Amino acid sequence: MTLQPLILTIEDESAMRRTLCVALRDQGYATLEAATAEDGLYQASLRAPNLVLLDLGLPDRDGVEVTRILRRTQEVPIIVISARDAEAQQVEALDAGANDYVTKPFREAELMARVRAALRYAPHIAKPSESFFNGRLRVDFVTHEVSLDGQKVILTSKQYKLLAVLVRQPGRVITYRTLLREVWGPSRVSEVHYLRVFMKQLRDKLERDPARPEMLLTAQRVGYRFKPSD
Amino acid sequence: MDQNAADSPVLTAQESRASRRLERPGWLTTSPLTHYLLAAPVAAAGTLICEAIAPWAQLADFVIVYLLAVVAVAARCALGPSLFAAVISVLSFDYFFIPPYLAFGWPDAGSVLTFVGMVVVAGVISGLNQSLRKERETARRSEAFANALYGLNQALSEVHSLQQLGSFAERRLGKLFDAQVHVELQSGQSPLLVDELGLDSPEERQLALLAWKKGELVEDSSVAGLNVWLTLNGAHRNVGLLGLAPRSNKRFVESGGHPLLLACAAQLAGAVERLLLSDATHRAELQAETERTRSSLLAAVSHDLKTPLAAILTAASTSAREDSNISAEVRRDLMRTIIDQSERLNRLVSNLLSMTKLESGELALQRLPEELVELLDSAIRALSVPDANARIQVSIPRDLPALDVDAVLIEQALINLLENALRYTPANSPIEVEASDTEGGVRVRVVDHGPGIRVEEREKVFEKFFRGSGSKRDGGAGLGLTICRAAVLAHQGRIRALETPGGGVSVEFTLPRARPLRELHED
Repeated sequence: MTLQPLILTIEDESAMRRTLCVALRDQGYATLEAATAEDGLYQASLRAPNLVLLDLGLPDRDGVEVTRILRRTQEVPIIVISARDAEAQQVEALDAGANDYVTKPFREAELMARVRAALRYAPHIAKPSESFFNGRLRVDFVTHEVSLDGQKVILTSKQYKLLAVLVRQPGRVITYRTLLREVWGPSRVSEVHYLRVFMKQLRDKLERDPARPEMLLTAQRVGYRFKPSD
Repeated sequence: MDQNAADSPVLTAQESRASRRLERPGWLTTSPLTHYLLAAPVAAAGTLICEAIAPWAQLADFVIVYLLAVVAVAARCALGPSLFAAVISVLSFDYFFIPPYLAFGWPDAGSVLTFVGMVVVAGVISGLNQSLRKERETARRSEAFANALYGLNQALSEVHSLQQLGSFAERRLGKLFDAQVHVELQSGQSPLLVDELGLDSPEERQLALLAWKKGELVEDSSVAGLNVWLTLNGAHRNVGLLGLAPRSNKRFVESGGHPLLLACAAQLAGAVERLLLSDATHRAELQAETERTRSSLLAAVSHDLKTPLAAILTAASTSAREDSNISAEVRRDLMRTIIDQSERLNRLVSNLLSMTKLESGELALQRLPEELVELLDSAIRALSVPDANARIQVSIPRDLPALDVDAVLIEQALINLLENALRYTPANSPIEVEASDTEGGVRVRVVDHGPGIRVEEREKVFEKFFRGSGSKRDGGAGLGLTICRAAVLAHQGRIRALETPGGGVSVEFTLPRARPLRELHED
């Protein structure tokens, strides 16, 4: 019997928590439940789960803080769950180290896709690789060469940097702030306009249909993510 | 205010003429010393004329010449200088023309009579002239007074808000009295707090408080700054305070002084009351409107929330019943209903949240540079209609400028428009989204080829809770298009529903462009 990935759900609302666990078990994952941040942090340190689903609206502790505490000790992927009108908190949690987010209410399929992606690319966080290849796109982090379907793609240095930041952490939502800091430096962290322009250029070069991107996806109001494949 | 001045050039001209007249130094007001000095040259001139006509003239003629000189002075000056001129003339007359010549001699009886006559004439004429001048001055003042009041009244009647009235009155009165003016209006019922007047010194505050308590004009010239205070007395209660610091006391008095100030204060109080009254009427109307909206919103929302909830509850309880013997197929059907109705609930709640955000105003908007393509992409992904992706055809020019919008609201607007278009058109008919850069911003058009909207309903579809004649029973609360309009309007855009050539609806709206990027910092 193969080892099932263990997923810890930290959510104070019992109906939601139980439903999430049922859905996860149905997909073949092993589950752990916690109703408070304290209990969640305790179980995370005790059982070392492969993934944490974290609700941002916990009664005893701020979800962003929980993310920070978890990140201090573990590389475990974190997916934050938040209400519709809490984008600011979402962004904060992502900047604090969360990998992805879903907004309530969400469909089961949407959550499972995020869970699969987070689990699959979790090792990338720990082990920086020298190149990336998903069958179509190849990015060489050493020579800075990019090719698509075997054809070399010429990118400017900023375009490459932006692509590299996203591709290095596949599936992970990178916030505007982080992207701007990594590519343009700390003095430009509020110039979302730069990102829009460069993302458009990247999509024009890499996407089949730039209007319906398949790899370089927008996380509305939050940031961008690189989706390696389906 | 400037507009005001432009509207009534006649008024301002009148006014400035009045103030010019008031400021022009009259003879009466200049220092009498110069008038005394004037007596010497006038007497000298009389003497010269007498010398000139001496060969042909008699003594009586000299008297007339001197008398004319004295009259000339008396016509212009007060009693003192007039008498002084008379005395000097008499002395000159005595010195030059009464023997012994070029020496003061004791005159004879006839000359004494001449002297006395001259002095009396000087006194009478000067007195007469003075009263005439006084009358003229009074007339001029009252004309200026009336002009100033009329001008103020006209100007105040053009001010339409209380917020503007205070600063407007300050400027206007400041110019009129050449003074620093502070106006504090008490709008609403809250008591006027002297501490909140923004006054620098405690003396000023004390004086203001005194004026407020007494309800009349108080003045204390020992106070530096605003040392004249008066209450603005409305018909029913006091509506504010006016403080004044004349730059020059003399000019203050000349420009009308206390009487004009009191009259102006009465006008101002009248204007305040008028505005308070119209404000109250307006607020009452607004409140009634809000109340109506709220109750209809509540009614519609509770109905629209309950309908899907009822369906969910029934479907779920049926499939959960232990003793039921429904087939797996029926159970799946029930589950499908639960999902569909939940989506409907979700849609409604999203729209309600957007509505709340829009109604809370400009402050809640988080505007960022956004690409229409990205907004549209996530809107399409959020649609719960299964074949949405295949039916929606996007044609947006590559070089379309970025928008300056709140992404969540515009995405919601796009979702609503697309959802409407998908729901009201046949299953295989395409929906087109087009965009172009125009003078007034980026124009977006969502085009469908369905049954369309009747001409008379094209405006109404954007109204709250309006359900068109072609609406579906399972539709939303009639909020979808209302939110589209509110979202577009919140971004200073325009929206309208048009007929698609060949049938169907085209909803067209404009959104503001983001400020273009100056430098790209490419490497």
